[in-house]
Amino acid sequence: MLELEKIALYHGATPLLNGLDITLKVGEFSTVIGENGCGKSTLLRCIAGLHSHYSGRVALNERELSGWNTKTLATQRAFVNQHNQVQFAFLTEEVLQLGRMNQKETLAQSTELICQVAEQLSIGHLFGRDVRTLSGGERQRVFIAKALVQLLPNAKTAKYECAFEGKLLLLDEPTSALDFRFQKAMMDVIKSYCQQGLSVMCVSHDMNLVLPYANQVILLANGRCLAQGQVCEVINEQNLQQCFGVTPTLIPQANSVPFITH
Amino acid sequence: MHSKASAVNLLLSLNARRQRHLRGFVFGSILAGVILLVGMQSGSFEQSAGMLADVILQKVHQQTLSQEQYLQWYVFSELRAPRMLMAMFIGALLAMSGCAMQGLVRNPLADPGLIGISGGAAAAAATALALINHFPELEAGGQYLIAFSAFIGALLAVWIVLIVARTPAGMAISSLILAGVAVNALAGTHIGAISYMANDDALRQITYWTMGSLGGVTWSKVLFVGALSVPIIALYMHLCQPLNLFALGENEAQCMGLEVNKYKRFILWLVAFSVALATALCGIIGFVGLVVPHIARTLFGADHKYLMPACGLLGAILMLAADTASRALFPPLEIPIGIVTSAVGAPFFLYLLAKQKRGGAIA
Repeated sequence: MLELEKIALYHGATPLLNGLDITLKVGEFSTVIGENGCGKSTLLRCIAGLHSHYSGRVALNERELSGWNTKTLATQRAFVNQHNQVQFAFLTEEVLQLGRMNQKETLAQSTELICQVAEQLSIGHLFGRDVRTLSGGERQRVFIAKALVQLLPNAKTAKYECAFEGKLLLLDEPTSALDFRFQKAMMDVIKSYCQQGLSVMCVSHDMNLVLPYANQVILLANGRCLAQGQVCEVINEQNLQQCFGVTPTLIPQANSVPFITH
Repeated sequence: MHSKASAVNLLLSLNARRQRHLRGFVFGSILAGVILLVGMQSGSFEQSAGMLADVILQKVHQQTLSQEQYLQWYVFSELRAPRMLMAMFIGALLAMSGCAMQGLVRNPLADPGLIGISGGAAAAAATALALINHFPELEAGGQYLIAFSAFIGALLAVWIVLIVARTPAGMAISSLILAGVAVNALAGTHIGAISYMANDDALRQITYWTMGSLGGVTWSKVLFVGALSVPIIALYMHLCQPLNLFALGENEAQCMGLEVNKYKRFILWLVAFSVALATALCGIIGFVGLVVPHIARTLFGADHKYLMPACGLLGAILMLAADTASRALFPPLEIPIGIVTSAVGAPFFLYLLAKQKRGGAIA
């Protein structure tokens, strides 16, 4: 559903991304891993349409990004930034309602969908609160909820079991501000949406948290793709050493991916 | 099942908020009516509501008016009614421009004057005033020349600011503000040079113009502004949702399907056009665009769907009150309305800054 061909992006003469070829299938959870400044967030921003001066091809559902109507595209692809700042005293529910602005539906219909997502992410109690007064983790959950609300099909098709087929969620460090409980809860919720067809590309430094959920791992180094594939193919000492410049210790675990530590 | 119950609760609270805001709009309209009534009776010429009602009734029934009644009718219909209507239009335009500007730059301390609109208008108006003083033959169409020059000067200033702030990736808000500061400084220098060279008459007129005034408003001007205000206000209402998205940040707005650069340009030109129109006809009236959005945000929240019309209504009310105060405070002297709005607005602005410094969030 997502195809990236020879994506390159330069800042002056410095390559930020250097010939990336990536494919993401329907319902797949892909995690992008790499050291600071290797181009992870830049890659997400290219797919989110926030960088326009890259070369190469980014296609969503076999159509290049530039060929999409911007409002239709917003119902197919959502992006969650690592840091989200809201100016002015917007309430939690007002931010979530903005996620439904490209849908033709009644207030009652959009409210029902919003509450459904709010319940999954445990943010229902934040309704009526000024978003600026929320903690970093609460605000992060609100913005992830807004992105999910943005991708939710309208009430008529919402109950269809593959309602998210062809939709893409881009997450930049989605759990960086979340506590121990919500880190796992958030990943479980996102994975449950993947089972309904949602494709996810997630940048994260917390490998032990995201790898058990990932169908695909992309290892980036200096804007290049070092390795790409399933967790068992990509996550090994040699690749991680090449990626981060330090030798990690991989502790095998029964029925799960290895635990990575220093 | 739990999410169904919370959906019902949320819907009820959203409806309750809507009802509360609607009540606020009704109360605001009544308040505007009361100030209109007070305003009609205020000023150097005393006029009571009862006497005025008699005169209006007689006029409606086409009865002959006595000399005193005719004077009453004249003051009401030719002097006070047009200027009060003009005050409402200008107040609404300035406040809605301020609201759009603050939403666009995501800063509650922003004002339309920030991008050089008022500076450009004042520089051009000062030039026109000096020219009229130097060439008496221009005096016949003098007020039109001043208004036209101010209008063009305002738009020219914004055009320069937009050209400078343009980057390959779109328009940078920080460059926009800095370019606005530079254009304002340039306009200040220009006004300073003209004032230095102007004679006493011209200097007095320039000073008076920069204080803003609703004196000399005629029905033709009111109709002109009214005819332009209707589509402008409609366009501002159309911008509510895009401004809500801008509040989440430009990246967020773009990912939500908003054509950010197109809307930025559109909002800036709309703000420029409406403030240029107001400034051209009434001179510089400061702080309305800055203060009203704050009051409106405190009363109606941050959602532009309610905030924008609230700004229009409160702007109209504030200008009506300022106009009434300008005539009623020291009769027969009329204080320029810009002085009244600044006298109220500047301390309020300082209060906002002090509040922010103490770590409190600005609404």
